[in-house]
Amino acid sequence: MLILMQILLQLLAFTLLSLSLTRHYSQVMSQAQRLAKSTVLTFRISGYLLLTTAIIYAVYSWGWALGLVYSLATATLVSTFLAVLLTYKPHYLAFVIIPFKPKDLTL
Amino acid sequence: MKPRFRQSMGWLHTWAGFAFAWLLFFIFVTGSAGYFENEIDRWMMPEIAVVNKPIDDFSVLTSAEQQLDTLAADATQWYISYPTGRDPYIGISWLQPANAELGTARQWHKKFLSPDTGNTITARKTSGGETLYRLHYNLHYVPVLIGYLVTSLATLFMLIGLVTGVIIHKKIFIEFFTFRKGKGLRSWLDIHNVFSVLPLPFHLMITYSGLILLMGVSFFPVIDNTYGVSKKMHRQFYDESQVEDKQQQIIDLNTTELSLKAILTDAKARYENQNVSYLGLIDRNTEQPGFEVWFEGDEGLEFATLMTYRMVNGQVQLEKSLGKAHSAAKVYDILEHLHEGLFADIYLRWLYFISGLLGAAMIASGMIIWVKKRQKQQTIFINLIDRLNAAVIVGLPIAIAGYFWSNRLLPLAMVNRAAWEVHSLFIVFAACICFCAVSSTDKVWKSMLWIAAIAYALLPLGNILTTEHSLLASAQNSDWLMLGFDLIMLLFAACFALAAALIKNKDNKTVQA
Repeated sequence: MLILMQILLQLLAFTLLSLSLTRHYSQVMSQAQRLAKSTVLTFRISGYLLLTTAIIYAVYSWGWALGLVYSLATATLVSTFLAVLLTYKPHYLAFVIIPFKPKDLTL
Repeated sequence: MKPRFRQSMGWLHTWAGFAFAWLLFFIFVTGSAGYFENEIDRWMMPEIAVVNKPIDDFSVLTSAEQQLDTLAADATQWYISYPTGRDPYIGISWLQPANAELGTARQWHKKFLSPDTGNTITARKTSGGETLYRLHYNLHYVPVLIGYLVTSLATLFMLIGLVTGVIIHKKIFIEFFTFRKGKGLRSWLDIHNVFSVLPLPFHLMITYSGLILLMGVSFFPVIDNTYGVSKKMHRQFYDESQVEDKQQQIIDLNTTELSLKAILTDAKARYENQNVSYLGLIDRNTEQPGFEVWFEGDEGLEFATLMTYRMVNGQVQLEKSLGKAHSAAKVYDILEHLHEGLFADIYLRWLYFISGLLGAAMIASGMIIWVKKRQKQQTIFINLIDRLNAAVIVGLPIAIAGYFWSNRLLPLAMVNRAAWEVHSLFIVFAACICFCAVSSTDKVWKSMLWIAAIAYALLPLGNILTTEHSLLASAQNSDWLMLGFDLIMLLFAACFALAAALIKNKDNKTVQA
């Protein structure tokens, strides 16, 4: 199930990237929140790192041609899913924030 | 300068999109259906027997050769197709030369074999998945050249729409995941962005490659200028640019006369782990017939390996195809393969299909936004466009359901049955347009969505009543393609029903089919 691994990696990566944006961070926290610069950087760098890992992983598993096709195709699926999730059920993503915010366990 | 530039790009985006929106929606939907061409074929030919247990390649060859000997003795080409993942059946096909006495034209014939008895099965006459996906570039009723030119022009406008769309979208990264629900026009703009930006790699690839695929037709003056104007010169350009690179070697096969059995043995020894997908016998009427072996599976984006055996000066020559010889043709091949996605396995095929539908949804949401922005005027013209949008966006899926229904309902012995299936599609489409043109703007979307839901929901039932393929029977026979098709029809029905239930009569909100 190479593709499942690919989807999970990208899901995590795109979740981190979306949380680096004030709008989505507030949605997930269900309150307007100003993001500290360091938090934005943490989310963004870890997000891009994971995304790169996912692409390297895809190229490693399927070769250049198919690997890139797979990465872009799953990226579409995952990011569309995430856009819908953020609108309708943003709290499902709270688990990503908890490790960064040990004091805010009252989500 | 800058705001002026964005504004003019915005204008271009609006009107380039508007000009061909309906046609582009048609192209995206029928083209997406094409990714499941073989699966649709299976559903439309319920008589074919599925091979659901391991078979012996050689016994298949024996029964296929027997049938071809009696049915196609004077054919110039024979092909035997072995069961593969997407086509789990045994088939034979042959090219019958034109016969002046009988007045028949040169024609391909295809029959399926029963895996148990080896006898032929006659499937119903159908246009199948192939005709459905060809609609997306030949437009069926117009001369083929016009069809190509019009689709090329529409594709060009699509490309303009994509590029200008990226330019006018100010916050492509900040609003990457943004969809604000329940905010009228704002929500529609958001969902339009989601459908456009997230599958953008697919949209750009499919549009650009679509444009390039038809370049022989749409850029014909280039060939006219370099090779000449006549059809023969165009043929020469094609032959010269598309030359295949071939590797030839003499092999020791210890035989003086080749046979399909001998080459099958040899090919299986060369590629032990590969499944044979086709055996072919070409140039049967010449001194030097060729024996072809095709394998299932591909390397990267490339097609399955093809090997051809021939007798040359008393020795056996093996020829392998190594793809196109020239780099321009190689690039063309890559774009063609990316566009058609024939290399895709089941997961990637679904991703292709979903991306295609997202493209259709992008166009649909664009059409709806165009109307929303002008709805305050409440003119007769804007209302008409709104109703026609419903006729195209929901009517086309209904028409495709009508195509599937006609396959089950038209009499089996009907003359031109296959052609009438396609006529049914367009008759239903026309009926949808008429219905929408006369019904009230407030209710048209809701009623159309309910019609679509019912048309799709009843398809599996129609399948049970007209054939012996119930959902249960398909599952028991491991007939996954038939089962999958029926289930997907139910899924479509559920999506349409959900959309119909969510939509408000006046203010149509979340439509996503």
